[in-house]
Amino acid sequence: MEDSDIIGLYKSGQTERAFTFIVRKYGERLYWHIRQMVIDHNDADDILQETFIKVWNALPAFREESKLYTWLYRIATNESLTFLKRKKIRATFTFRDPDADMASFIESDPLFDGDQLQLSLQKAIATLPPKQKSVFIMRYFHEIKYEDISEIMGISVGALKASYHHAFNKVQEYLKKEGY
Amino acid sequence: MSKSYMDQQHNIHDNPNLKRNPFKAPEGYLESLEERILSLVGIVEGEESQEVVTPSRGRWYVILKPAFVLACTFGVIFGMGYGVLRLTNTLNRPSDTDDSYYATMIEKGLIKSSFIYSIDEDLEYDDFNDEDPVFDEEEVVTWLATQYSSMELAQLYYEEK
Repeated sequence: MEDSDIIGLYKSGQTERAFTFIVRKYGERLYWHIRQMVIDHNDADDILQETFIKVWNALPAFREESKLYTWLYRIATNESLTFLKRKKIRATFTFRDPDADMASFIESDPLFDGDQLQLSLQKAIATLPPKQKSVFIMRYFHEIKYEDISEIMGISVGALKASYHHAFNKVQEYLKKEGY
Repeated sequence: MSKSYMDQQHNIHDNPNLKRNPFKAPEGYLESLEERILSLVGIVEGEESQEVVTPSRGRWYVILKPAFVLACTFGVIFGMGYGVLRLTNTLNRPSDTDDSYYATMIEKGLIKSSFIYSIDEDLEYDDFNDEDPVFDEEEVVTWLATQYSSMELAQLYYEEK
């Protein structure tokens, strides 16, 4: 079903039906987007639930000024960024390194199914600042257009390209250091 | 993977395998995702197609909900404050400048501030007796004259003032 059809359903008063189609169409995509941001499945599940509760509550206020899918991604990305920020604050107070924690979590995660190079790539991504990380994940893994990422993040296309370029170089550098 | 992978001018864009999602979801998680999220907002699958929700009602709910929550919060805070004041009996206590209250209390003998009360406990007013005490003026003056010198009386008088 097209996004415009879902919006049409919603406008005709079939709110729950429209929401069901949103979950059906975007639930899994948003889960993977969030999962790649926060790595841990349980955290991703919590954030995904929060995201859809916000979507449900904010649907009446959706004005179609942005595309439905960029609007959904924006909510999911903001939720993930807020989570990462809180995690960083908690880590600061407990004198822990959140990047190192995330890297060691990936290594021991039974739900990680990649090879050594993929493991190193994920560890490299874990070292990126949260916003840069979200730009990199959306562009590299989900191949979302810069124009759409701009709508999701509220950042200009030029700034996004620069951010992706920095992230890309950092990842390459990390992999080189790892011996790849 | 070769150690010289990056040195050979390759980058992460050249390896499609790297773009593959390396994470797995727990068994059955994605299959039950839709049902769990719908139940989270109170939608039962299969029933949603029949149910038609008026959008305007949803809008009013969204608009009025914060105001309602705020009003409830104020109500709770006010109720708690009122309760504390009631418990500590602060509400009915007169202000420091309420002269009539203190005048009544002094008159009834609950506050001993008169010159006579300050000099002898024997003249204490009986709290349980509603009738005003009757003193013979002459008796009091005589008693004072025998108990205190003029200087002592003057001193007590000014201390009391």
